[in-house]
Amino acid sequence: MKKRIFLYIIFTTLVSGVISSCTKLDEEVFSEVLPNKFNPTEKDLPSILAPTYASLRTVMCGWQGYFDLQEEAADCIITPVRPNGWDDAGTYRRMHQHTWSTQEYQPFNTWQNAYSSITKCNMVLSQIEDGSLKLGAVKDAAVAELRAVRAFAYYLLLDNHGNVPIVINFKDVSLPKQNTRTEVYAFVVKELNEVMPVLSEDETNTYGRMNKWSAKALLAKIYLNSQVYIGTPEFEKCIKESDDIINSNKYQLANNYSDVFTYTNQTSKEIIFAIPYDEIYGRGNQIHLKTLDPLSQGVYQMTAQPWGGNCAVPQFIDTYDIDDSRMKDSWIQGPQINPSTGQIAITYTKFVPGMGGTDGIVAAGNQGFRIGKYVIKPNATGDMDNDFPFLRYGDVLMMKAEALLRTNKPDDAAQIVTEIRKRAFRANPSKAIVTGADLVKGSTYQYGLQAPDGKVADVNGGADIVFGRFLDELGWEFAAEAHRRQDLIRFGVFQTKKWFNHAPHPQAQTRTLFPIPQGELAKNPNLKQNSGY
Amino acid sequence: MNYRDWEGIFLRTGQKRLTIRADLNHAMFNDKLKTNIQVINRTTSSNQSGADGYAYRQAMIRNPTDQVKDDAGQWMERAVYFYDNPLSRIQEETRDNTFREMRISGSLVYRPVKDLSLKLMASNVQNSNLYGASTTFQHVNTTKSKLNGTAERSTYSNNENLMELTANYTKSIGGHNFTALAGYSWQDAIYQSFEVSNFNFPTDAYSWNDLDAGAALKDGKADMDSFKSKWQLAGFFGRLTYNWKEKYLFMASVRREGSSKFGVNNQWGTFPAASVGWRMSKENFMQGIPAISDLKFRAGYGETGTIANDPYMSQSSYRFTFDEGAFINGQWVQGFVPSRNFNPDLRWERKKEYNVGLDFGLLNNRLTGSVDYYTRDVEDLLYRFPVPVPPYLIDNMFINAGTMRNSGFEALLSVKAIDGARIKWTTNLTYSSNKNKLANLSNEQFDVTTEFFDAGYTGEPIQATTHRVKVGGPIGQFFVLKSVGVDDNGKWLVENEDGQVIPIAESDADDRQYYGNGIPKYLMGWNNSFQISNFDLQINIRGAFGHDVLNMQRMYYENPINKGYNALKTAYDPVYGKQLNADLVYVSHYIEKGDYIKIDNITLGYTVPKSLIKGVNNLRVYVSGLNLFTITGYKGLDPEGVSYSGDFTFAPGIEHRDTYPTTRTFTAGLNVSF
Repeated sequence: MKKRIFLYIIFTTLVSGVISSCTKLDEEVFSEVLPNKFNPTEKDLPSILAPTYASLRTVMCGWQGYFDLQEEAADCIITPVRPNGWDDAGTYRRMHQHTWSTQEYQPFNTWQNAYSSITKCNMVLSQIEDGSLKLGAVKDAAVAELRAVRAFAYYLLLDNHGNVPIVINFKDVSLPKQNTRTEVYAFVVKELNEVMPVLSEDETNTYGRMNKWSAKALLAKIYLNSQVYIGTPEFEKCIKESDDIINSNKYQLANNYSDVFTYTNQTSKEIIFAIPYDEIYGRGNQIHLKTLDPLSQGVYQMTAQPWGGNCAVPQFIDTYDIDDSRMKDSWIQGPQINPSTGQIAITYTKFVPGMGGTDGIVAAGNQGFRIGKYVIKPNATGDMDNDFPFLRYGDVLMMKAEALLRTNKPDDAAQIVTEIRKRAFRANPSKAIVTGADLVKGSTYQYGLQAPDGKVADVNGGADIVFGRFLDELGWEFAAEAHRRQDLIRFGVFQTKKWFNHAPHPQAQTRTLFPIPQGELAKNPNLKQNSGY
Repeated sequence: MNYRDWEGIFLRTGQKRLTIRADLNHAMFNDKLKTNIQVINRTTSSNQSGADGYAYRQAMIRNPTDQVKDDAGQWMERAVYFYDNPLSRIQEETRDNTFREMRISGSLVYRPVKDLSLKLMASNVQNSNLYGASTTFQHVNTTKSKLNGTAERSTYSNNENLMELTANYTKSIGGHNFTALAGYSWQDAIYQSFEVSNFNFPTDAYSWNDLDAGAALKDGKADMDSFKSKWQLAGFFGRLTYNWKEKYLFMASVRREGSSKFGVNNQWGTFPAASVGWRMSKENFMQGIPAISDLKFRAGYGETGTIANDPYMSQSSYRFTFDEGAFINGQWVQGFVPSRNFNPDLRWERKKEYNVGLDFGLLNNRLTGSVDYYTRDVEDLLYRFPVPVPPYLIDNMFINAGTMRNSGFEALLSVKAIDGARIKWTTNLTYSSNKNKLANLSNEQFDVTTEFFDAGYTGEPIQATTHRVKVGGPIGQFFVLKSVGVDDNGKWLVENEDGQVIPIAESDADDRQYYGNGIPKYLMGWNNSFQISNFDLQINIRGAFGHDVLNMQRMYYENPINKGYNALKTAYDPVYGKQLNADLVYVSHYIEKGDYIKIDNITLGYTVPKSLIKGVNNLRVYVSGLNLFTITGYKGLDPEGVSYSGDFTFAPGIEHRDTYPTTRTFTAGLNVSF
């Protein structure tokens, strides 16, 4: 009996002990930071701001990102079918022919990352507002910068998708309501103007961030395109913002064109707003991988194998003046030597037979000039060090020139264009000079469909393009800088001309806006598709 | 103690396993207290070299007439995208893994009185894994990618505790039989991991044994990481059963379980179950029917809960990461971001099942079997659903949303067809069918309005999703362009959304349609066992019917377009009567009927009569074959289509391009006991 009592005691103790101590479930966190373990202050501000810029890095030069969205829909860059693939269910062909679906990745990626940046800005702004993030003296500057980053992201949406919801309140988790392109335009302009007095005027410590000058350059860009966005021209305002930047004397044209794009370009005095990249800390610039053939790996002694995809449209290459040094600075062409063997690894030729995919055409690995503007560092990894210059001084000058040209001051415009051309024609300075009369001419781009043998068969030319010569200047100066789609739309070429394997879409005007991504429509019934889709 | 040493199918692969098991039982106090301690120690060492699915792919696509080594004796490599020498991958990479596990479990059973048993069970499982991988200077990582040798080391450990206390009471009074069970259980686990990689070594002699000698980690180009997580699970449970003369049977149970993986207000869930049974064969009026030896009807309802796979999904926590970092004030800083879209209300996924069934035995139980019908609703489905940005920070969120409905029928028939003294034949037939659909995708708390989501992925270079799950539709449907022909130029003709035939070049994503389903409509099994004097024979056959399989190998290799790569012999066979001249693409042509019957196993044995050899208790020799024969119209390797390792729940029925053939195994063996 004693034994039995003893055993009962053991059991009861065990049972009661266990039950009282082991109903408390506590999820202990080790590899994450709990809010009560971290009280952010002023010194943490860089880490708190950083994510709002990180989304821009993801989309700008990333896989099927903003760069592809702007270039592959335009007349300078194509991704034809190659021996190792690159049909990718026809997506590059659809980008080229403006037959993209509502589920195409390129416009979706821009939408997604722009809104990612916007939502992160909204989150931090709400934390500042409700006091959970205490910033002291730097509060106003931080709020202004966050609103400017948010405006930048909305600008991407204004330009590409147009009719998008304006969301500014992080705490409201209801499904957003759609706004019109005109409303988005007014919002971005209002935000930039409101924060302008508070934004930093210092241009060196704010590299890669929104300061007063990047906000002004962005405004100038929006005003230059306002005819497209809202139907009202704003060229005087564009000139005003450009002049503010010019007169500040903060920026200048780089002596060497390549310095603006090389792997040490963070020191360039020409860059106003860059998306910084780094092969270690800020990965994602993979322009070199997408453009180079795998055989070029040895030429640059790269640690990553390139994928061999996009290249220049031969008709665009034909527009260059033979003495224009930007032709060599922008495009990799001809024989490529492997420095360790001294042998020619590959020879890039201008000719590209076609987009392929529908007609059995496959572009050979060496066909088409490759994007060489972003100078490839020897021993490059899969991620480039080159920062992506989104707004630069040369751009501001050319925006002003275009606004002058379009407000009947072609000679003033020509002076600026000549200034820009000077560094491209060092060997032959007389060729740098252009006149107002030149700028009002048409384009030399031989628009028309290219046959597989390289002949431009179905010619519709460029002579009839109003200020076509100025469009050519934009092409030469800003090739492969993700400008071309916007420029083509402003000059009416996007909607009307044929190039390479592209003919105008039957509803061409509707293609100046990308569709609202199908997946977003499915997630948010408040959204209506853009017209024509 | 058990030791096994396998040699792998690929060169330089294999596995060694040592298992040591010890059991200690002790009874005290007139057998009222029984104790048991069991220790199992297992060590598994495996060598994988560079032999993986990718190496197999390289072997498939390699130009078969190319040299293995060049004239200088080096591996022949070509600067072609995703095209490496498969042998150099296997020979120049080493991957070794050692997994050690120690399981200790103990139990105490105490029976203070005849009808009551109290049991305490506790166990601890500790395992650790150590992995090393390296490539030599002759690997493409160095010959092509200039990495000068790569090496990595990673390790993880798990420590899992389980404790369970149960009290079981059994009582019979007359024809009334009761059992009552009550219990409590506790489980917790801690996982920790650490990994480092490096490259740019001065020599490849170190393998992974001097990671410090590489330069890449110091240059910031190589990676290092560590992680720790913990979860806990507690439960109380009770069960009551009652039957009257085993004629009327009742059962009711309830579990109350708590998991640390859910939000603080939703950690606990209650899961009841109940069933009734009627053994009709025990009724008096049945006694006059001797052919029916057993007949029982059953009906039941039960709820069970499913826990989130990963811990922390309900935490409102943040992380620092360079992925979200930026260049601020002249230097790169880590970004500080929420770890996920916050969902502190994460709760149990609930499975509610109704079933009715019938068990029977006829002719003295020579013919036995059962039939069952069930419906199973999975509510508050735990899944990573797409959500809009904004209002949410990122575009997916782990939430409870949606209901998945399953219903099915199962039947089992077992016949002792011949039951003689010298000859015995038992045959078992099983049949099951299952239907499922996604009934809805909604959540009262979050505005999830998605009517479908896509799952499955083809991989490069086709790059398309393979399946679509639509609200109201069955799970497992392929979503694809339906190919209906090939034109004179060798281009695919597909059906557009209006059902018209158009060239594929004019199609877009909106023309994709539902086509076939990767989940079998029904499964059948047929197992036979024969005994003829001293010979025994087992034959196991099974089959699945009514499903489709995406044959990725045909999609990638049955196409002559890519002259750089090797292709299947069938690549030049006409497709819809025409020669194909088109790029690789995901179309319905590659989705095939997957019906199959497999002879899984045949074993023939002979038992030597006892009297034959002195001192030997039992002596049996046998031969056995596994995966012997498949009858199917499917053209690929395995019509089960289970090799896709992605989202198997929502993208079933894919035979991955890197699958290598299932092995057929023959075994000859000898069992002796003395």
